[in-house]
Amino acid sequence: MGLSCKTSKKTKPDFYVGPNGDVLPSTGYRYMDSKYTAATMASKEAPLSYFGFQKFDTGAEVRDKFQIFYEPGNPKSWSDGRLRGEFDTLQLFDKSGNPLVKVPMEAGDTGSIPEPFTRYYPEYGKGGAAQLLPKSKMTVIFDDVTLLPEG
Amino acid sequence: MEEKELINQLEILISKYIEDNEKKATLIDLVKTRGSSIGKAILHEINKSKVPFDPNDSDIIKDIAFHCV
Repeated sequence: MGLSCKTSKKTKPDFYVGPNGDVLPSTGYRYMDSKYTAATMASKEAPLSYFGFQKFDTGAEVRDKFQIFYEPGNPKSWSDGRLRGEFDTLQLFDKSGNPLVKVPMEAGDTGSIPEPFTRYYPEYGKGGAAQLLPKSKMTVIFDDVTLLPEG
Repeated sequence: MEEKELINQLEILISKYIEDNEKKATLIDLVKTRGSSIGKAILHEINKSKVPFDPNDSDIIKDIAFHCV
């Protein structure tokens, strides 16, 4: 009789609820340019900026949903969105349980209207992704880092 | 890239690619006040600029996006 050794996945709740009633899905996703693949896979961390809770599987889908400017060969391109970092959102609460993240304002967080779902830059994609932004600079630690196909 | 360096790079890009002096001053003030958290807004303004883009700035754009988009 053979034995198999499987790495069991840690179980965790679907959501975290802070003492003030702030709720976050327990898994978040940060999407980055594939240029940073080797460094991010080695460190398993990256600076946190816009992130969401939907798991996209191609760079094209990421850019369309998060309205990220990218044209193959265009040196002005921001990111191909092909590097996906998956993380536990428990690290987005401080020691008192207060969230360290917020809903960004439109116009790249310079406007006056909250933008919980991407919509402000339709020239870069359809949008519609739920998004949050850290209140101040922070680094996020990933459970998994995946290089996605282009499309 | 540290926050100070990000702010410095954003200011350099604004100075280089935003032609309207009033808008340039407004954006630089915004970066000084808000820091790199508004990097996406600045990248969008640079994207709209009619100033010919220097391909040498491509890596800086990507680095800013890595931190701010």
